[in-house]
Formats: sequence, C-alpha cells, structure tokens
Amino acid sequence: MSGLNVRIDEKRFDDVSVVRDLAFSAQNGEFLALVGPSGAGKSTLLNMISGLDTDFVGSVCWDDQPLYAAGQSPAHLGMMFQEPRLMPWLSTLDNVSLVLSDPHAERQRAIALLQEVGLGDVLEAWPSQLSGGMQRRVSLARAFVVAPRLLLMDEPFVSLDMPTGNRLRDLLLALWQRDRPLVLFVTHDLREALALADRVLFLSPSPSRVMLDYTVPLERPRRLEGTDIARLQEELFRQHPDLLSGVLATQEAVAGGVKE
Amino acid sequence: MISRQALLRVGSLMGLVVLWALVAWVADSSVLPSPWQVLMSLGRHTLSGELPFHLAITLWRVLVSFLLAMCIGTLIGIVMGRYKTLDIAMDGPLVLGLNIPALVMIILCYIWLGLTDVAAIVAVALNKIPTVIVMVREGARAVDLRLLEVAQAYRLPRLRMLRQVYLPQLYPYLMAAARSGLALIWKIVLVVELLGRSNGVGFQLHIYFQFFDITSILAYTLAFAGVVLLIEALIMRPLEHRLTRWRG
Repeated sequence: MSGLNVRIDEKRFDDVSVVRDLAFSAQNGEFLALVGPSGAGKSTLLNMISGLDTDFVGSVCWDDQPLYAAGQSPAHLGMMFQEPRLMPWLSTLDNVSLVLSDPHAERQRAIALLQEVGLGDVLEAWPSQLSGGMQRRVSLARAFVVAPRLLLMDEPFVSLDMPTGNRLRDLLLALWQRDRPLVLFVTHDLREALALADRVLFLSPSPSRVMLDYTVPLERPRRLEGTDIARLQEELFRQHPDLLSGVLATQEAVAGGVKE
Repeated sequence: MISRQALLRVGSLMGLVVLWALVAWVADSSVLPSPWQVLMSLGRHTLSGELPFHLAITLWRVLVSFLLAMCIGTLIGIVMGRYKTLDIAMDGPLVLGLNIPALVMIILCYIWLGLTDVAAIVAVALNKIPTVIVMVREGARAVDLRLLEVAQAYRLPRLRMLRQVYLPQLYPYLMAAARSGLALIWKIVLVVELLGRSNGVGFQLHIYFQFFDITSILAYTLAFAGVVLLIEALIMRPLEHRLTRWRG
C-alpha cells in the first residue's frame, strides 16, 4: 500500500525488550499522533523509523520499499526533536539551508519559508539570540524546507508556555495542510494529540505495542483548550480506563490547571 | 574599548623596554646592551640581508612542522576521542610521547634520518603531536551527539556534516592546540637548528654565542619575538574571533 508501513518485531536494549510486535500503517498526507506513557519507547520508535537506529528486528517501508535503503533521496524525511537542535555556530538562515540538497541554489526557498514562519527579520541571527519559541520555529522551518514526504516529530513543543505552544501548533497545521507530508507526532499530552491529529495511536508501557488506533472525530479547526477536546478526552478515559492508565497520570496534572 | 585594549597591550610592552633600558644603563656592562644598541644591530643585520634569510628559513620550518603536527595530531585525536578501544590501546604510547624529552627526540631523529631538513621537521612535529592529540581528543569526547543525529536524520553529505556540524565543535580545542603549538614549536625549532642545521635563527644564535656577541643575539631574539607577536595579532586572534563570534 502507499504510505508508511512500520513493523517492529522486537527492539532490545541489552537484555530488555522495549518494543515488541508493534505495527501500524499510515496514508500519505495523514497526521498521526503517537501517545504513550514516558518510557514507552516513543523516541526509540521514531529513531528506528528515521534510520538513526537500525539495530532492531522488523521493517520500515515507504510505498512497499525499505524506507532507507541505499540511494534513497534524503528529501523524504523531515525531523523535529524535543530540543530545537540548531547548530549554534550557524545563522538562522544557514541552519535551515544546511539540510537542503543544494544550499546555494535553494537559498531563496529557505528565506521564503523563514519569512512564512515569521522569522524574516532574524535571518542572520545566531540561535543563542533567539527565544525558545523562535528556535522551535527555525527547527520547524528546517523540517519543512526539504519538502518532506514524511515528517517525524518527537514532542517538539514540549516545555513551551501555552500561547507560544499554540502558535507553533497552528503554524505546523498550516504548513502541513499546504504541503501534506505524512506526520508522525509523538507526545505524552493526549489533548495535544487530539487537537492536532487525524488518528491517535496509543502505545502500551514497555515493551510497547499499539493498544488502540483511534480516529479523532472532530472537525478542524480545533482548539486545544476547547470543551470539545476536554469532553473527548474524558470520554476516552471512561471507555479505556486501564488502557490509558499510563497516560492518565500525566494528564491529570495537566488537566488540573485548565479552567473551563 | 578596543583602543583601550590596544593601548594596554602596547603599553605593557613599552614598559618592558623602559625597564630593560634602565637596567642596562645601571649595569653598564657589555653583556647587557641597551635597547638602542640592539635596535642598531637589528638594522645592520636586516640591511645585510642575513637576518631576513635566516628568519625566513626558520619560519618555513615552523610552518611545515606546525601544519604536520596539527594534521596528524587532529586525526589521531579525533579517532581516539571517538573509539574507546583505540583510546585505551594508544594511551600508553601517548603518555610516553608526552614525556620523552624534546632533546632525545631531536637527537634520535638526526641519528636515524641524518642531518637533514626532513629530520629537523620530523623531530619538531613529533614533539608537538602528542599535545595536539590530548587537546583534540578532549574535544572529540565532548562532541554533541544530538547534533550529529540531526545531520544523520537529514542525510547530510559527509563533507558538509564534517565542515558544518562536526568540526565547529572542535574549533575551540583546535585553536587552543594551535596556540600552545606555535609557542612550543618556536622554541623547539631553534634547538633543532642549533643542533643540526647550518642555517636558520637557531644556527645564527649558536654562532653569536660562540663569539659572545650578546647584542646580535638580542637583535635576533627581538626580530623573532616581533614575528611571533605579528602572527598572534594578524592571524591567530582574528581567526579565533571569526570562529567563536556566534558565542556573541
């Protein structure tokens, strides 16, 4: 089938199995969120899909081809990590054009994208001169500048304040709706997953596998703090209390701070 | 701000010259000529073409052995910082290399390779390589793997990854190695020249020592020190500024 096919039979760290019999597929252009308790191997899973970690039993295919066989175009993959991970010695613009296949020829595209994410005035600034939110925007622009078919995001908006996080989420959705890459978005915040994704995959505690494949029944645009999402979250917790026990712990802490 | 710094730098050097003049005046001895006498001698040696010739030869030896030591030391340092097994295996020889007296290495090189320029340059480089290794290894151990993962995830070409992601993390260590390296190499090159070459500043100093010509010795020293200061001001400091300006 077209799109992404992931089948991880087993992933071990030393003698401990962290992922076992985890499988899912996703269509081209779909927005998928992966939710699970911390320590469920979410980052490990992304590393295996991105090819950073090749030491596992299983396969990761794109349109029925191994995703990172030799000779594959690098333009297929964009990635955002938990931290912005910018090169401190490169300017905003150079950080983005760094990942282009021809940094000089495609420079204009990098500039246009940076202007689009609101960083047109700081093209020559060093990362240390940018705020945390701005650094994430550079990181987001870097992920989109390669025109990715697959975009892997590992809790990219964690530890940002709510307004900054919301602006970034809006920006991500706008760029996604324009370019339509397949997005795999890892988060431990269920509300964030429900606000962003078409489908949410719930991962079990380690050794992790997919416990529930849930299609979000909400129209876009959605509001992270909206009642729709709060209600949906409650309903999910009621229907799958044991399934979500790992998620629940973190969610209660977050929900405590929300006033409706 | 910058002019104040420059003033301080020049001022402290001027102070040294004044102190020298004073001591020379008080001592009034042939073993400590005045700055003026040394300057005259410097002019004479320069005009005769003899000092520029020997200085150029010494500079050339410094340059070649410096580049050789930096390249080899950096390569080995990176490998040792990266691979634990190699690090352990090569640590013994490294400690040995760090502690063999420069003089021993120089004598052995001359005996084994003959009294040639190659032997001289190899001897100097061998003295410097271990310290470059130690400094670069420190840098290679501190390399941020998370940034390398970015390069890997985006499938950056090897050369670009090296130049834009890996090496910039080593620059502070490379700069430190280059600085201390130059300082060490200046000194050792003179000894090497004194022991086994028939030209260069070290050779000239040897001759003037035999004639007990203190003025000429100081004139050569002065010329040499001037070159060192120029290299520091015109190459090393601007380079360091360029490589670290992102720290803001």
